[in-house]
Amino acid sequence: MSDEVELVIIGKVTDNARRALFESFSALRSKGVKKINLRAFMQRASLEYIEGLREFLLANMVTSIRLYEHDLSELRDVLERLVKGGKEVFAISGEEPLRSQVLDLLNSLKSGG
Amino acid sequence: MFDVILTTDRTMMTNHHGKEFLGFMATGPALGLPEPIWLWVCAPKMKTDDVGRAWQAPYGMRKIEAVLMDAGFKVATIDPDRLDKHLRRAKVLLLSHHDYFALCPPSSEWWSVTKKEPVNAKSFRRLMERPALREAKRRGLKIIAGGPAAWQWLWKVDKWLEWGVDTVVDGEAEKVVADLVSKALNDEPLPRYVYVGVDEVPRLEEIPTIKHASVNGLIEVTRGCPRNCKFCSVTLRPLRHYTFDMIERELKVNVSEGVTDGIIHSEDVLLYGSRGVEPEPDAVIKLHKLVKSYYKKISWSHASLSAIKRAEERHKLVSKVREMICDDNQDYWGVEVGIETGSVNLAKKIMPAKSAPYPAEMWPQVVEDAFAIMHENHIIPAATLILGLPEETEDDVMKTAELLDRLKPYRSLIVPMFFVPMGYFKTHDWFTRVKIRDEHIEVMKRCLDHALYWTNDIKNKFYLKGPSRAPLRWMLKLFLAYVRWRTGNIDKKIEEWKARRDDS
Repeated sequence: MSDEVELVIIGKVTDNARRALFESFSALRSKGVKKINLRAFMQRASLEYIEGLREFLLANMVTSIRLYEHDLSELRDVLERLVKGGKEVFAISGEEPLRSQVLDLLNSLKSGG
Repeated sequence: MFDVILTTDRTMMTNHHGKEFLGFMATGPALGLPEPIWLWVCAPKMKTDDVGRAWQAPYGMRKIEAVLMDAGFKVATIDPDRLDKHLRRAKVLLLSHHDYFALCPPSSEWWSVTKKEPVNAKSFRRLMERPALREAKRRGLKIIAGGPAAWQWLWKVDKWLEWGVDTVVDGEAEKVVADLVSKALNDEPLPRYVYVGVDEVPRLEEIPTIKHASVNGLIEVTRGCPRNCKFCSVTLRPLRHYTFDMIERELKVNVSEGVTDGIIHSEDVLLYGSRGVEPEPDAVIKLHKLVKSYYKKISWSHASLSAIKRAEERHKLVSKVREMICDDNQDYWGVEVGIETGSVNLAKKIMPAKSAPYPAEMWPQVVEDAFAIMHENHIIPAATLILGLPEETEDDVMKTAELLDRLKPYRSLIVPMFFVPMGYFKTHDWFTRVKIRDEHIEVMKRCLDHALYWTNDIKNKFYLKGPSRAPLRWMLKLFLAYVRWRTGNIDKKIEEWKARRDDS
């Protein structure tokens, strides 16, 4: 695994999403990841989601983080660009069926679909 | 003229009349004095050149300015009063602050006790809401906020949005800022938030030399700290000591721009050159010899009480440094030290290495011995205590109160601070968690007694002596008279407050 990965969070930062974020983050760190580009995809790009991410951001003290915000409509384009650029992408969502849809999309992009 | 502007509000862009401790007043609201006079006492205007560049600016801002100058950007650090005309052309505005929203101690205590917003937060708000800045933002100005209080934006998301801050950068920014500014200038997407992890902090050779004078000639000699206290974030970064060459270059910058006195900045000045917690006397002596060869007066930013005790007992190092520092130009020097608690139990839990190389069981004795050493050597400490620490018990706080009694004979100011979560504790929600208990009030009262006992001595004999300081002395005398008047019947007021608290 490379030092730098893309962690994509889609939809509202619910308790489930936050829990998944902490778990993914911990797993990535244990694999030696040193920098995470956290990409938040929201219906309307707004800073409200940062309140949802605050606990996660403050808990981190070691790993480099870049937090980018995107409108949900950009999701496919951004994921495509990241996958084509050879980035390792992990997706999180606390909302179903959004989560399954995004994982399907990501798998399809990774397999060249 | 400049594409990139660095600035901050008046309470930061000031040299506090060359008296760093007066800066503490900027963390409070104006009490007993009209706000303009209060601000004149603690944050007088900074001299500027013809275009508004500040003569002295906060050291951290000077580092960022240096990185951007080295990278070829048209950048300047502009005084807040001269900002407006630069905003018409600038494309990127970089902000820094020690306490943007008055959430750090002691601002948060002032606010909590007086119910009045401290002047630092008010001053920063005025900066952000000025029409020229709002207009520049509408035209597309990019705003990047950083500095030691960057984390506060995560608690003030409404202001982040309202004031149009594009990016918040938390951590040592030398290796990330040029890329961010470049993206901002080229209208490329910016991250909303950047955390600089331990693998991204600059190595020693990547830390630039400041290009212009720093506030009160402050020069950094070390980054990081080996003590691993749980409430502190500095300790997470690798320990790096500047070389003598690096230090001398920055001394020359300050002296060449007319700054003749300065502060040695380190989390623990007496551990300069050390790889652990044992002082290295040769390095410390060489450091002071070097700094004193450029500056007339010097002081320390921080030192640990354990290093003070160890350095003196093992090497007579404090006495030797005193012989180098104290001369015709100065007969004392100041330093900030952390007592944090008088409880051995709490010390073991949250700062087991703070007393090292002495065992944590000795912590109260280490504190008392270090205070005695400082008193004898004309070092005037501003000491901090932390109240409301996680796992703190009534007994812990009473141990702190008892220690305060033992420190009464030693010239010092002791400031109680309510716990603000940093380091391992930084996700704790202190806004709702801190409950002021009776024993906290007892500690605060003893700190006030200690301050009132020593303040006149410090002010008249050391800090503000001489005819040129008479106006400041007079203003502070007025303020202290106000404090004495307001606290004359403090016991009655405390009882009334307790009754109100218990009722609610």
